Parts: sequence; C-alpha cells; structure tokens
Amino acid sequence: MLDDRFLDKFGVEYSPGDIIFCEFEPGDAFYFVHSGKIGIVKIINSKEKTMDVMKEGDVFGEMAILEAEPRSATAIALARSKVLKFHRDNFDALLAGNKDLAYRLLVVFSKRIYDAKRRLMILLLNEPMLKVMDVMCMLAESNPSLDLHHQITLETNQQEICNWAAISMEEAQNALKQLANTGKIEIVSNRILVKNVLDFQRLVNSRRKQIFSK
Amino acid sequence: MSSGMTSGITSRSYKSGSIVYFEGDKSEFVYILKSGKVILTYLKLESGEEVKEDVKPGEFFGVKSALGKYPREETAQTIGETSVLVLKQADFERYVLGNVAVVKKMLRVFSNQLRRVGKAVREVLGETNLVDPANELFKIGEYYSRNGKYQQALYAYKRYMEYYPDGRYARDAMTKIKSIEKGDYAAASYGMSEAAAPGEVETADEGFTPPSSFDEPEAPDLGSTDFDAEAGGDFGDLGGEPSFAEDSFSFESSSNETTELGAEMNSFLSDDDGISGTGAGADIEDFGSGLDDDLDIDLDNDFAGADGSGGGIEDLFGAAESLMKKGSFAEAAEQFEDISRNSAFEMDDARLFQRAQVLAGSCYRSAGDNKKALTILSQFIKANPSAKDTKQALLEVGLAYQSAGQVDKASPYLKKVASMTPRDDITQQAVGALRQIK
Repeated sequence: MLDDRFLDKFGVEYSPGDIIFCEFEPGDAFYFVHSGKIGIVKIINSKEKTMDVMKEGDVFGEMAILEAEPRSATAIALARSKVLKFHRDNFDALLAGNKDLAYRLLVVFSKRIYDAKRRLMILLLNEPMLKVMDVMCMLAESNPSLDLHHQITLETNQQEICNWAAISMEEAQNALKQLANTGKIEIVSNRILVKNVLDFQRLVNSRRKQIFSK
Repeated sequence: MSSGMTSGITSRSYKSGSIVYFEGDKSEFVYILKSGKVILTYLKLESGEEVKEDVKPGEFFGVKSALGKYPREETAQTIGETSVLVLKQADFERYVLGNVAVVKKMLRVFSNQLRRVGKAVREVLGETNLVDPANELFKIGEYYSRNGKYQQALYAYKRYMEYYPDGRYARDAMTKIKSIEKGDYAAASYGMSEAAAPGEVETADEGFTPPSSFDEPEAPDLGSTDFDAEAGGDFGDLGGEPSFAEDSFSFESSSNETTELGAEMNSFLSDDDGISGTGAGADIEDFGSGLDDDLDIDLDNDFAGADGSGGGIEDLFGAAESLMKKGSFAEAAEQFEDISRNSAFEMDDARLFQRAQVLAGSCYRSAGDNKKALTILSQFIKANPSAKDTKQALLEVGLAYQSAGQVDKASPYLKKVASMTPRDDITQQAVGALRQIK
C-alpha cells in the first residue's frame, strides 16, 4: 500500500455525505482511497445514480491528470473516509517517489480505455435493438464468473441498459419487450436472464461488419 | 537465446506466420519482442478499416489488455523466425517498477488514447458543445436543495461562486448559500430559478443551431487576386508556396519553457526523450542496471499496441491541443506548426493535418504573433479554398487583423464568415467580432 508518510502530507478526511468533488467542477486533483468508501454518482433525469463505488486502493478523478476538464461525475463519501489528494503538479514527484501508484494508474487507465472503447462500439451501432443486444454482451463479457455458453443472469435493469445504449427509454423498452416475446431474454425484477448471449454476439458482430461495408 | 531467466519470465520462439494471440482472446501475458517481427492487426472502431502495426525488437505489446484483464484488442502474428519474452502481470509489475521513465511514457500514451476515445464517445453522443458546465454546476445545487440535501447543495453553490462569480446564477447562488448557512432551509428550497433540472439539455442561449459536422462550409469567393491585395500591405508578402520540411521530424521537449503552465505540461509529457515523429515509436533510454545483459537484448522500453505508440500525428496533435487549452499558445502554435510541416502526417490523417495548420495560426494569433498567424493561415486558405476548416481559417485571419488594429482588413473576412452556412460556433464568433468593430 502507499506509504503512510503520505497521509500527513496529502491525506484528507471526509465524513459520510461530504462531497469530494462535484460533477462539472474543473478538476485538477486525483485521489487514492486510503480507507473508507467513495460513491461516484451522476444526476440523470432528476435522479442521483450511482455509477461506481471506490474502496481502499482505488484511484478516482484520474482524468484530472491530463487536463482541467469539468469533472464527469460527483464523488461523495459513503462512509468515514481517508483519501490521498494529489495535484496534477505533484504528479511527477509523486511517480518518482511512488511506483506502486504509477503502476496502479497504468491499470486504471487500461481499464478506462477499454471501457470507453467498448462503449463506443455500442454507440456506433445503428439500431436500438442491436445496441441493446450489445450492451448485454458487454455486461456478460465483463463478468468473468459467467459461462457464456449457457443461460446467464445479468444484474441490470431497463434504465441501465437505456443509459449505456444512449437511446430513449421507449426504444429500450420496445427492444427488450421484443426480445422477451421471442423468448431470447426474461426480465425478472432487477435482473435480466439471457438465454444465449453468444447468439447476440454473433448477430451484433455480423451486423457491425455490414455497417462498415456500406 | 537464454531461457528461464529472471524469476518467471520465459522466452518463447515462433515460426514465421504464427499467432501469438488472436483479437478477442482472454489476455494473460505481456510480451516483449526480442528478435524477429510481430504485426498487430485490428479494425479502427469508427471506420472499420484494418490497421496493421509493426512491433520492433525491444518493444512491449499486449500491455493494456493484460493489465486491464480484458480481451485482446488486436491479433499478433509473427513474420519470420521470432522470439519473445513472456511476462505474467506480476513480472511486468516488478519489471517496470524499477524504471519510472517507462511507466511515465506508457501513462502518457495511455492518457492520450483515453482522451481521444473519450472525445469520440462524447461526439457520438452529441455532447460536445451543448452543455455549459457553469449552468450544470448550479443545477446540481438546485437538485440537492430540492431533495433536502443541504450540505451537498451548499458545496455545489459555493463551488459555483468560486469558479463563476460573474455567472448567470451568481445572485441566486449567493442567496441560497446565505439561506442554508442561516438554517433557513425553506428559503433555500423555494424560489427556484428557471434553471432546468440537471441532466436536461438546455436550449442554446442565442438561438443558433449546434454545429453539424457534416456540412461543408461554403467556398469562400475571395478570388486570389482579392486575397493577395488584402494580405499584402503592412504584413509584407504573405503569398508564395508553403514550404514543408521533407526530413524526418524531431520533437524535442523544450527545457526553456517560460510559462508556468507550459512547463508543467511539458514536464508531464516529456522525459527528456526525443520522439521521432514519423509515426514510429518513441525512443526511450535503456532499462539500465545490467538487466539488458541478463536478458541478452537491447531494450528500448518502447511498446506498441492498438492505436499505436507515442509519436503519431494523433498523439502529437493531442499534446498540442492540451497546451492550447491550458493557454500555452506560443508553445501550442509551434507544435501545431511542426505537425503541419511533416508531410508524412498528411498521409496518416489528412483532417488532423489540416486542423493543425489552422490551429497553429489561431494559437499564434492568441500568443500575439499576428504576422506568423497570417502567414500560416493564408497559406492554408490558398491551398485549401473549400476545406472543412477553411471557414475557421478565414475567421482567424479576420481576428488577427482585428488584433493588429487593421479593422478595414478584418471586416471583409469577418463578414464573409458571418454569412457562410451552416450557422455555427464560428459564425457566432465572427458576428461577435463584427459587433466589437462597430
């Protein structure tokens, strides 16, 4: 773990409910969770949605390392938390003194790049139905405990699928209804059962090739 | 070739045409090419076109997918007898922790890639210019107020006041802050301003339609003679053929950076290493401390992979763009200009190549060097009378003349831009500038 010496210099404490940074604020610091839990939330359609929860050892706000873009989400302490706050300016010195952090950032960036690319792949499809299928493929792929050759259960709901696919709720509902009617999926409270996600993958991949050959 | 060397790292040999891994494979290892050649093949996300990239001896590959634990982004195939080092994630971690320069270089490349993909996502979502962060920040305060979360609302309002003291909702924010601090929560919840709920798209203030990226700006009808007459005079002869340096292009990090922001950005971007700019990888100093001897290879600590390594036009453009956004205009201008002088880049990405020229002009203008700005911009307009970026180039010429106090020269350009369809951001800037002149 990070050297405890850092706590004196860079440590900041938060109580539950404290905002570490707000969506749309310019950002110039990134954070490392020393202890506690930080929720990453966005307000979508007048509702606060949790995008992620950061725990001990996680890095967040790392996009500020690149440039002072507005924050893409709000970070709120969910429990008493201690974070290490690093300013973009300290970055060099920090890397030299702490290779553990540097390596961790490499991992974080690798994951973020993949997530963004995967999301872009979904968004570049041209039909709501295809997008909905690809969202389910993506969710299936990112869960290593699932065996994609059999029926799988995705812990997700219509709202989430709608957000990922960036389509209207109506379009999402129509697509899901159609899939349910043809027996390809089953919607059970906050879960979606997918009978054969590999079929979805095949279909999406072949249609994707068609889009490009136009 | 030695095998079974430093704890766990093994060596593997392949015949020509073998597959090291397929795109989509579960990833486990990080590889370093020792000898021979490996080609990485993948499809560009937006266009579907196939991209092939060389991995050179000494370069890493398969890094991102192994670290992120996701499927391989490309297919890696050998050409000729090839030998690679195979590292498990723990080996890689141990390996690079001994060399900060490698990590920093990788971080730089990763962050450029991340920035680019993020931008592509935002563009597809149509998010680019539609939201005003100031307004959104205030709306967040409103959301928390409405929902009785006053502590959070206070944070948002206070931040709003800190960053946007002259903002549209400044008075409202001040009032709300005072109410909450006094404990007068009712006042904080009532009297909501007409701000829409967070997450709702606000219609553009001045009633113009957002830029549509597929409309071509109207070709300027400033004939060449007209143009020369305009461009001549006080700034000397700005015509003539643009000259492009044909030799390979070397992007040395400058250690004489005078602006604070530029220095900070510079030191983040550079490791005192030169980056060759012909689209090839970056050269980094050796790994050091005899590891090279142990492993019997000359490591350049470079790496390749989907979306390429550090020296292509996209990365250089991204770096210059960052400088520009931070206000380091002189530095950004030079870097954009450097890009526009390397004709190899024009083949890589013609659009970015053109933009680099226009942005070079724009940055020179912002940095106060109107003469240089006009030189570059006029060359561009001459060579590209009806390109996508010509409208912006014309605007920049007008603004440059305006900065130089030559209103009579500025006017025709600004008027031309203001009349070009579609009406967009650039139109607004021209209109605004014309208003100032009157």
